[in-house]
Amino acid sequence: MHLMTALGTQVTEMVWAFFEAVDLVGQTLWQAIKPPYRFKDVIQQLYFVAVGSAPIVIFSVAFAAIVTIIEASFHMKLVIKNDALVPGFAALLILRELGPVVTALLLTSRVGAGIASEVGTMKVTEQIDALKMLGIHPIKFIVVPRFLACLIGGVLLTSLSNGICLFSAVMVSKMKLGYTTGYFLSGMRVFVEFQDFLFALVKGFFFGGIIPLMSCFYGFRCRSGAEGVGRATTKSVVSSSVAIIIVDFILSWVFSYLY
Amino acid sequence: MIQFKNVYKSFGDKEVLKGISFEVKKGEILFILGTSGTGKSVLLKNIVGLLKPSRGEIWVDQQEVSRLTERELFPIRKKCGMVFQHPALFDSLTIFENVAFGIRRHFQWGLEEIRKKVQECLKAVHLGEDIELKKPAQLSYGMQKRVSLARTLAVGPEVLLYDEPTTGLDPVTTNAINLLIKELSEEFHVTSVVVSHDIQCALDIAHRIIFLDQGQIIEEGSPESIMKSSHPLVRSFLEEVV
Amino acid sequence: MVLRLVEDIGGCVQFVGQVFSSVRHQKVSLHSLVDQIWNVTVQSMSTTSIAGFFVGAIMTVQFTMQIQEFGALAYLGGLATSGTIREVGPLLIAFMLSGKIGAYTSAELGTMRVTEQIDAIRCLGADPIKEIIFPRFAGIVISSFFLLGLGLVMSVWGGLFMGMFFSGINMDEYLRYIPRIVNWGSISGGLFKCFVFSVVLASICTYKGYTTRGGAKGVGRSVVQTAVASMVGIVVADWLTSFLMDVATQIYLGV
Repeated sequence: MHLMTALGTQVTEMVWAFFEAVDLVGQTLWQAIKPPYRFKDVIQQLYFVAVGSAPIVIFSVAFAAIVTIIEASFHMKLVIKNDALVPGFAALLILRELGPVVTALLLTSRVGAGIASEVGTMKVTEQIDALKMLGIHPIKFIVVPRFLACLIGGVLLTSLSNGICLFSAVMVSKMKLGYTTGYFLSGMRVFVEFQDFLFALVKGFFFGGIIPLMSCFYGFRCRSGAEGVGRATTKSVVSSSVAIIIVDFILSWVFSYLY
Repeated sequence: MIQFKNVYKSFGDKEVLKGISFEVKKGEILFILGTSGTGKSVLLKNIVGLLKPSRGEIWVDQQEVSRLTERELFPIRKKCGMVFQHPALFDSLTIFENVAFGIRRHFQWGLEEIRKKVQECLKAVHLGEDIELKKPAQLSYGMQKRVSLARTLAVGPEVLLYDEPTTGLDPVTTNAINLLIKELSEEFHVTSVVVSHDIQCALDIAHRIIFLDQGQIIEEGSPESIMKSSHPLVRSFLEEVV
Repeated sequence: MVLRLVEDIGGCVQFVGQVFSSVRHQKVSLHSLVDQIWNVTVQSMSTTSIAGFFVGAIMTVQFTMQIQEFGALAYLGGLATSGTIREVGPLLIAFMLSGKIGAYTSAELGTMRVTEQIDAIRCLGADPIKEIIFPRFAGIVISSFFLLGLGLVMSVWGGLFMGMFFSGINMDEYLRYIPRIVNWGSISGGLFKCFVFSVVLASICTYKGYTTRGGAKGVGRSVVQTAVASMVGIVVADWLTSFLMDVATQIYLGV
């Protein structure tokens, strides 16, 4: 009996959390299109999201691209005894998966965790209640600028990281595998289509939307004290990363029918 | 018992303590008062080596403690128990394990002896045995503070250092904690150093009071002499007391 | 910024050295170590499994699209599995763990730091590095190694699942080429990667958590820093291990 009650509470709580999440998403979308627009805040957040994360993203994806080339060459040699197709295969893998996903996961930790801890701190220091008392809509004031900034930032950073990835892939195949830039690019043209660039940006757009919503959701639910802030931040990182992987899977599947 | 000799402490280029000298006598209750952020807690943490002074000497029982290593501080920390501002209980352990934590490190006792000591300490802070198996989060804040006090007592300290024991508590609990400080001091013959900004309670139970402002001692003396002080800050503190 | 980075790396390395020297002369409580391993493993099992499964599934979808044009679908199972185990799998699952375990641990330690629990341990005559940090450090290394392994196993399942439903090849066909392409070198390489990632993860999160300061805000800040630093650290470690594996393979083939 005791177990049943506990289970019941758990389920009710989950249902409530779900409604809260839906409510947050709905309100964010509505407040985003409703005037007045807070362009200045969006620009400010965009600076934090895009410019602030750019160094880490550039650094990390450059390394990831090098690894991809090395690994792709390893596999090619294993199966068809030469690695002439590496540029095409690697470029595809980079554009379709690596670029968008690695960028999004990095954004989750830097921007997502940042938002969650910021909103969580605002919650425990009663700043959010103070906003309400001043007649300011907390979602409009806090979530919407971050949401819009992350949408734009997601797209921008994904295209940036794809560029960097390809650049470092070209460099490493030149130095390690001995392929010239021209060979790499022509090899890439055989495989890569225009859709690939487009789909990568769509992925960046979706991932950019997931991160701020998840983080604000956990930030608003933050319980008091240092422990609460830590927990909210952790949860937001984990949930956004899992969500990104799952959404990536769904998008990859859907896109595979669109070539 | 404890002696500060011209102690300076700075964080970066911000000087928090500027030449503090005073003495704590055996068995007395000393209150250190001052506004927030004047380095009262810093002063306390210097005694047990949680912080090291930039200059100056701190003597505990004929031993200079400010240059000791973590290992050498072991007996000092047994002698001087610290009661933190937050209860600082270990959330993953039960109340019993929290109180027993220090005992296990300092004495090679069997479980029966430890149990007896834990019960004795909980009783000294007016808590029952029924909470032993609970986790800290299940207790009220005031009770957590008491457990924290019991945990410090369990090691058998000769000096108790209280870091703002009543900050953030309601008047009823505040009163109870203050009475407890007095009681423990008499019952266990411990020396008590209390950092606080509660002037009323300082006047009630302290043997001596030190006023700290901007990292310097501005007034020192018995409660009676403090009452007669003409220093503006001390006066504005005293205005609180009707 | 570069200076701060160097300072951070130096601090972290020094910290890990401290952790090891603290346990050299003293007995470590096996109980708390087992406790930690159990906690971390149980907490992160579901996340890791889900992440692993989907990573495998994604890789199969992508490889199918590429290989189909050559009519080499028979190789799908082998290639997707090998690609996942050697590179993408450990990387993405380690990313996931850096959120789950890394951020969690640094939040926990940060909370202990700002609520003065760590000072309390010192005052009660115990060494916080030995009592608190070492069990966590060792526990995270051991359990995230296992978890990464579990994630890789799940990724094989995920790949198989998508191979059957998306690429339309049956189980036997999918599995047939796995032993041909995935050799022991790849598996041990993947596990080596997992081990290096675990060490990177454990070092960064214990260091960042232990050096937290500044209240609730400080805890939030160190969690963010942990997540970012461990992801960047993992990417760099990924490159380093791949490089080493490549060298090792060449030496092996050369001889």
